Amino acid sequence: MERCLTTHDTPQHNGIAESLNCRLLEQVQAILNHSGLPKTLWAKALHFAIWLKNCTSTHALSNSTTPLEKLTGNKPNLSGVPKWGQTVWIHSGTSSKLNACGVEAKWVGFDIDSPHAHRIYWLHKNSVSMERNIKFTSPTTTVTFYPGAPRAITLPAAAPPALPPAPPPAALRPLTVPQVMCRPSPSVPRAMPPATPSLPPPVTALQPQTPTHPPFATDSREEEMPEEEEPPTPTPAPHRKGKAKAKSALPPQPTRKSTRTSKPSYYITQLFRGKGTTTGREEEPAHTPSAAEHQWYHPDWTRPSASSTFLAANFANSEIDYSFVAKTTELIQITANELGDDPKTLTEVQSQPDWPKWQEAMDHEMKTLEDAGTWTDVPQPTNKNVVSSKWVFRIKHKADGTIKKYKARLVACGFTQRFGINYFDTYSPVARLASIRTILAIAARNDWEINTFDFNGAYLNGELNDNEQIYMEPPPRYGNQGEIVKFLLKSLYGLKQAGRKWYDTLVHTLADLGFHISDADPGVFYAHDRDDITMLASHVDDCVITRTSKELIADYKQHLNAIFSLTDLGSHTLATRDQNHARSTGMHYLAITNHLYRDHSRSLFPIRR
Amino acid sequence: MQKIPYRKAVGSLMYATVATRPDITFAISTLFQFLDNLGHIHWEAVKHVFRYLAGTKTHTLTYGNERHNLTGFTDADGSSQEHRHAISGYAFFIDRGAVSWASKKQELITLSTAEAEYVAATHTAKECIWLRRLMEPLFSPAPTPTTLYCDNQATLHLAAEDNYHARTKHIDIRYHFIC
Repeated sequence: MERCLTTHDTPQHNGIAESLNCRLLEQVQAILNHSGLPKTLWAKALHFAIWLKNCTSTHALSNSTTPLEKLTGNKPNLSGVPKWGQTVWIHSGTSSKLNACGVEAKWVGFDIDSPHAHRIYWLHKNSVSMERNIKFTSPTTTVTFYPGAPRAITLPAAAPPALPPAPPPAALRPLTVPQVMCRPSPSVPRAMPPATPSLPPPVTALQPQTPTHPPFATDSREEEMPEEEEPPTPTPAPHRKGKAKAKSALPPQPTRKSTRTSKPSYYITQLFRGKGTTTGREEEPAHTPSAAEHQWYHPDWTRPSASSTFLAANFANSEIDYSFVAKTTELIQITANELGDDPKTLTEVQSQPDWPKWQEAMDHEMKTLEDAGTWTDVPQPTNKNVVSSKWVFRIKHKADGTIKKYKARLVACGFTQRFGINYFDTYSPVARLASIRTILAIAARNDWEINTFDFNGAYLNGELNDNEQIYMEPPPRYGNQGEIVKFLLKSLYGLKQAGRKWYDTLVHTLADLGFHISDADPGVFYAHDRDDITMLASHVDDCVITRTSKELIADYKQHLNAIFSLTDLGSHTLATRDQNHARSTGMHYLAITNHLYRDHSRSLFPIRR
Repeated sequence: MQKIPYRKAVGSLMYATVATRPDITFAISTLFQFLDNLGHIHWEAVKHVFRYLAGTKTHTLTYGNERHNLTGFTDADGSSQEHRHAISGYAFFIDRGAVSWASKKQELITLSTAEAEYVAATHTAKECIWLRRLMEPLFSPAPTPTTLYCDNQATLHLAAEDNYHARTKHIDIRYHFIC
């Protein structure tokens, strides 16, 4: 066991612990919500979840061994584990002969410290105690073993759950002998009579084996211990044979499934028929739909379009404001069309008709990466963190909505990196927009030339240091997992330090060209060249540069292009000059505006007047 | 209500705000206070801003039209919103073209409008210092002093002479930064 400290407020660095935490929490949620017991029992539910986890096989241990088996050497027996929160009857020792001898309570897990006791939640007292004399009223959950295991065990359920409890048929009688849940001790009556007549007779045989007591660490025992707790007397269970017979004699029963077909509401039906109004539900004629209308809409309906599928998904939650949804239907559809185009996974891409285009894009990306000398192939190292990689797909659209380009990009899964081993600094400054505007204002005042450009594949220019050793799994579809891995030389997209490495590289290159970093904004660079001044602001890979003359800018860009490859965006992308105005007034006039909100966001959020 | 793309809408408006639209800064900073529990009226307000932008989309930031040095304007509102924090705002202009602006809820509750304006002026002065630091190496001759405009006489007097006064004695060193 190695103790590692992480920086405070960085839960992402202890990934395994956090993900276990998350899974346990999800189990607790499921257990609590399904049982319907109060949320204050979360600690008991958590104990049960941990106990279950320790009794089930885990990825970390080989040969499907369980943590419990590793600890004690005994295989845990999970057959007949009770359902958390199920109703049980507790023998009440204090009542007189003629009173009911059982009290109803809920089962909330095994006791940690003694293998014979159970934690019982008393509904009327709202408290938890340890009890031993327990009878389970309903069959416990079906335990199905993995394929290859001997059999699936379905514990007897004599009557369908919906039916009122009835005496079991005589044939089933030997299989459903009421038995005491815990280890039988001579001082305790083995089978208790039902406390009330409504108690269903088929009581399941349950026998958790002795080593199944949970190996989890400690628990503050705030629960009261019952006084009648007797010293444990380990004796073999004589009725175990009968129970085994019960298991093998009954065929497994399929889980009951609802046969009811779910129908969408009348309002949704109307919407899909094109009759729904966009003004809201309250304006709908208040008549109940006829049977024929319902008949029309069947779950097997053919879906008209992707957008209405999206709409249907949104209507699936019943508790929403229908009038609002109807009003914004168009909004949602457009947003869905904007966002939903790009495939997410490689398998999804491979199943699409335009797979050859994607294949081409992936080949192109691989060639670019290999030409850039991003990695070398090395045999898989031992005891090294190997970062995984994935493909990201994006369709680039033209302004009119037609497809411009299929783009595939290989990214490293930066979240699998470890701080201090695979990466160090990640801070990467960019220019403030106020700085860029100030530069533009100064350039406009002096009528300097303004030019914008961006760097192609900027991040691939960043070199990794010697102490940042990153091994990456070969890209999906390009190489087999496990034999050869890529040893990264350049900072690939997705790495934690990719932005930082690119900034460092840019700073060094610009320093070689004679630029200084501005004190006020680390994203702004300037260079004095006799009386000339050149200003450059960089925002990741987009740059704006200004200088007294066009030729001098071209000169700098040529220098930069020799080192990195650039895409020149020209001088009119960011700002427009009004030449007529300049001629008439003698003033230099520069206007900047935001094309993005003018053209794009209006299509994203159309507004009806 | 949950299906309204409110966050997306105000998020995209925020981009316009920081890039080229100082005029909707206050509106957006107000709309951003209702991301979690919005009502119908907030969505209506978002659409109102969009309509305003649609109507004024030909408006641009213009630089180089006149000749003025860096000038700053500072203001604060009268703590009229429910949370009783004053909203401070500032804008800096080069040649009457806005280069830097903000509208921000003040971090403290002020006791008078003069104090609210005084706090706003402090924040404006900080931005002013930053802008001058940015421009110093860029402008060859040292820039002239920057003028900061404020519309509150009490604040102006308070900034000019740091006298103790019954109504200002609680103002601490942080906000005397501007003196």
